[in-house]
Amino acid sequence: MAFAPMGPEASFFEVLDRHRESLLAALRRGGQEPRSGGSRLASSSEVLVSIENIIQDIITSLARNEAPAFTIDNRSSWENIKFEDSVGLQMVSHCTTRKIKSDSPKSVKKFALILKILSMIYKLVQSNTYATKRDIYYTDSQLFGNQTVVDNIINDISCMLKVSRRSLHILSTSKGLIAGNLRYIEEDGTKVNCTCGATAVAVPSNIQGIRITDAKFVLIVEKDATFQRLLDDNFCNKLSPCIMITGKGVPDLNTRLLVRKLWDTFHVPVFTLVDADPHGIEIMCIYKYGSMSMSFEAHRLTVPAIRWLGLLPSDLKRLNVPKDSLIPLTNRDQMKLDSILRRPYVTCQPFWRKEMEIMADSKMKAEIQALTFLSSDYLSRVYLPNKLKFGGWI
Amino acid sequence: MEGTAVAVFEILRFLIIHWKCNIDVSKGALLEGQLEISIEGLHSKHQANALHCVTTIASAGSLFGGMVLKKFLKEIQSTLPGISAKLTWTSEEGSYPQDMTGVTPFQMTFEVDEKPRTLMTDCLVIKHFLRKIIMVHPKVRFNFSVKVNGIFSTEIFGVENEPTLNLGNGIALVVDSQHYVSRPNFGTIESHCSRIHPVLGHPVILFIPEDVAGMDLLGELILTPAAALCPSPKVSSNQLNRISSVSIFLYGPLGLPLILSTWEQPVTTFFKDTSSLIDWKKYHLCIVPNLDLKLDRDLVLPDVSYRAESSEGDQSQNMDPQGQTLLLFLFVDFHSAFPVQQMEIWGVYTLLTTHLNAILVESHSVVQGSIQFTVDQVLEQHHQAAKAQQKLQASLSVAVNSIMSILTGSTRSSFRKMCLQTLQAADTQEFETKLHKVFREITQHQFLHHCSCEVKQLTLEKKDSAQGTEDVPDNSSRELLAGTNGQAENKRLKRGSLRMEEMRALHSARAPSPSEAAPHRPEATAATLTPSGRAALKAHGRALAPGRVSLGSRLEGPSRRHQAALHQRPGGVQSLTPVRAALEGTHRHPGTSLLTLMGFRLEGIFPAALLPLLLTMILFLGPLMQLSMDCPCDLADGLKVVLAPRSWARCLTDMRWLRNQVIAPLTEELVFRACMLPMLAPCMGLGPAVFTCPLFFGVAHFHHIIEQLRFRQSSVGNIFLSAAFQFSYTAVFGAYTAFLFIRTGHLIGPVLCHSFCNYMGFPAVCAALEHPQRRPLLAGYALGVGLFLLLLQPLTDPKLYGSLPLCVLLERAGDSEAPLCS
Repeated sequence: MAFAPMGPEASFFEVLDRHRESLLAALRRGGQEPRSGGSRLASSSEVLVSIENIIQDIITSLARNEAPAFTIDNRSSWENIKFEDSVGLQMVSHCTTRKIKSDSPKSVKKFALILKILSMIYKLVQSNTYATKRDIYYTDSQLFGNQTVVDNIINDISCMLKVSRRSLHILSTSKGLIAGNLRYIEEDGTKVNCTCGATAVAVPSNIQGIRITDAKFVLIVEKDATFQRLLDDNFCNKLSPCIMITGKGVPDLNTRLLVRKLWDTFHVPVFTLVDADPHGIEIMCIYKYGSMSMSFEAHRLTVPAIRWLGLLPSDLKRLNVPKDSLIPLTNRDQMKLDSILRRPYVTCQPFWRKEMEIMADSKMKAEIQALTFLSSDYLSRVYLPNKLKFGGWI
Repeated sequence: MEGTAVAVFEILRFLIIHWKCNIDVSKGALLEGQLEISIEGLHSKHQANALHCVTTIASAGSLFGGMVLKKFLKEIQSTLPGISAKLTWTSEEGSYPQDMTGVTPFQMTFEVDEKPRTLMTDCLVIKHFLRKIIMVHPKVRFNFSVKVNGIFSTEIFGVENEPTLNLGNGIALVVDSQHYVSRPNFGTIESHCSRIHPVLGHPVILFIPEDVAGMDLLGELILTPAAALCPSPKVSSNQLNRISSVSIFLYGPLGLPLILSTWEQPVTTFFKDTSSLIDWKKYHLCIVPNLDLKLDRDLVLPDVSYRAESSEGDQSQNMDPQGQTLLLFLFVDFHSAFPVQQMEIWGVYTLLTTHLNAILVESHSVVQGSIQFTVDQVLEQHHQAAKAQQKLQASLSVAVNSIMSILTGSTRSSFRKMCLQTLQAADTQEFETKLHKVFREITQHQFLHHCSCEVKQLTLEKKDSAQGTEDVPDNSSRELLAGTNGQAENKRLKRGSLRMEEMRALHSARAPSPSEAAPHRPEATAATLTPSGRAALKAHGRALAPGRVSLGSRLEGPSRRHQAALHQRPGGVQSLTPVRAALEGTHRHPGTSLLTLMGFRLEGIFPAALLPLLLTMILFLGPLMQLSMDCPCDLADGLKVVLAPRSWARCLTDMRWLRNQVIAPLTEELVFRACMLPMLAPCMGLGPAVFTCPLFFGVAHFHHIIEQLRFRQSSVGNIFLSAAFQFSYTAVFGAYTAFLFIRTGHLIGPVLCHSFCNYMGFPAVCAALEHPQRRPLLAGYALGVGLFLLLLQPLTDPKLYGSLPLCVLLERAGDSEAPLCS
């Protein structure tokens, strides 16, 4: 490709290619051809009908002189989560539910707000327009109070109707950034080219567009600071062809959808570069296995093929990172680490478990920036290329 | 208050003190039992114009364990000085008091001479005393009967089955608000909880002034206030109600009423000064003593009563019927649990009745502090309830609006129909009203349930109050909800019927003088059936009507009562646009469905298809002639082609033909005529509608400009010129088809004309002018236009096409000008 700058020699990607082969083989072994685009979106009429059914239920129960209530799956308890290696965290089919009653002073407001947002969604779907979550909040900010309320209700509705947020015609402004050898066409026909430059492109809110890439791997970077640093160091071009994505901390839905889409379409290996601290591991787990609160959509969001590239706690020892660049674990870190260790997915990741135990034993964590003590561009020049070349992921 | 009353008070008080001391008070058990009090008046032999009254107080069942009777007799004799009373003691085993082993009915009698009038007031006073006792001793029952010259009336005081609030210390408070305020006619007011929700305040220690302290008082006295608003916050009202009156009830140790010296005026100077209890200014209230106490009411008579004077002035005379009464209960008790002897309690009563004023004045600030705090709590609680209610209402209207928006926006008619059917509403407007109503009813219902403490809560509350017995004094203020004791309503009704039989069985002779014994008329039967059955001594004339009213109201259970009030809410909001409303309206009109309005109907369809087409063909006479002249083949060949199925098949497969001849006419006429005109006509009138609607039609052809500009088919000026030309002739044509649509009420006519005109295109006038056979052609043109103008009206006469559906709309819109409808 003309625009592709000269990357490293072909032998550099040998291990990566083998890794990709093995991932594909695993997929094939795991059953039918990977469900590329298996996340079928519910059609508008289906959404409309299910909203109408909800209204009908309410009216029926009113006619029977009963106070109507919404039954919503409880999304904040590990008991409702089952773990499946190939999918990640999933909602169990018979999960505990909670009721949003219309006759209790506590929940009546939430009941009304759910109805309100349902009616807005109904209009959006009917007129085939899209609105962001923030947009919905601003339509009656007095009533909603704050954005979190709206976000929660939208997730609840999505869970209740078993329909993805996109099908509800609700978008969110993407937080994530993307750079690398990727071209895609947006819904309105704009062609976007995310070639590496000084600036990255925001993750599109509609990930349905057609994409072209010849990337050999996708690198998910936890923090925006590291991402920008890598851009500045021209990492993308040096290791071209590749794609870098950051979710700027805990990833939003769009970023996760994009990662998933990239995996589904191209089956390129995906790696994560996170801090060697419990929070970084948590974020990585969200990419890989999904989060509890969005577990009802896990089959559209998770990418179990993700591997942990760095920064591994064992690397700290291996590279002789001096003690004073390390940070002792706080109490909260400790608690978080313990809770991650208790989660179901750790059992099938013995290497991860080992790394976390190393961290727990040393009681130390480190930011990626700890590597700068060796040299300012150690990360992009030495650490990452070596890791990628010799398969230093787990 | 004369001898009889005083004596009865003293004896009862004495009895209850003994009674209390003998049961295990420390566990906070309530007194339980029944006492009979009967007064029998006969014409006195010694005194003219006086009645010799024999008063008997007896226990119906077992009351006392091991009371030393002789001592009791002696003590009670000593407490009744200055009364010309004979006190006799009878008991079944009267002569062997020592043998009593705890289970003994007892009876005591005293005699006194009184004037008939005095006796009447005494009876009233005694009743109020009994009422006040049962308010805090809900398990005690009094049978009070009066027999004057052989005329008998009886009344039962008991609230066994009513919800109560356990206050610890062996007393409980009845929380049904009907005892405290007269219930307004429900139906006119919004539903509210029938109970009061008292808040218990801090106990405060009373300081006993120096000069009184000489009395032998063991331990300190404490005062515990309790406050409640009555009636309770209305569940459906949004704003706070004004406090219109304040009632204060005083209770001494063991929950015995503190009787102050006289009824007629505010008893002590402490209470005379209204600001001594609460700083009313804080609540923007102007409080004055209320001297207008009615003895003959069924309610518990407050010891002190104030009413609020509104600052505006003129309302002051009457209590605002919507206003609320602030109930203040002041319980004076000993500090420690129960270290006192019977006689000491007795002493405290004497002390309190005589020196209450001084004591309260001495401890003024603490008392005021505690009361004020309690009142604040009550008002806060009230405020919270109102706020919660407001929130509920706001949420409900959001919910209803959302449902309505989905419903009206839905394009699925089955869904809409289903929803309307479920609530049995005819149209969306009614549906909205109903939806709002049902929603409110259901949620209100739940609110009322919370408020009236269901049986489920009862067990909890009971446990709570059992634990609470010890720590009530430490608890600063907690809201103690009432525990119910089952279906009070049923049982009381039963009691009512029982009493009726009682009354019937009794011999009811004519009263010797109405002033002496009022209730002995036959009508009194009705009066005694009033809610509490306590109207026996009411002036008979007045008692009758209210008695009946309240009897009726009692037959309604509380839930029904709420429901009745709830049904009277005004309906919801109108949100439909006028056009929509008009359409909805015609929807209901028989025979004019939406489709008929849009010109899809069978009536007169053949003339509607043929005549307008004919008219248009006449207009196009010239072009038609031109066409036939230019046609290379003759007529027979032409007909052959027209009738051949193959040529039709070719047409049908030709997309352009389909577009120009079928789809475009159909859709354009559907949109610009069938959909637009029924809306425009009622709003603008017929004429303007005919000329407005083609403007839209003309504008809709402007997009050709874009197409031509993009592909640069000719110069910009030419493009715009042709667009303007096209606009003008499509507008004229649109007006023509609109005219056809309105006159015929059919869509088929305009569609066929449109199709025909599309086929013909704009008459090629230039070609005609240069045509070799110019003359006949131009004549044909002129003839066509002339004939067209002549035939325009007769051929489109509405009478030819059946009744016009549009007329219904016009009538509704009040458009009388339409001559086409006549």
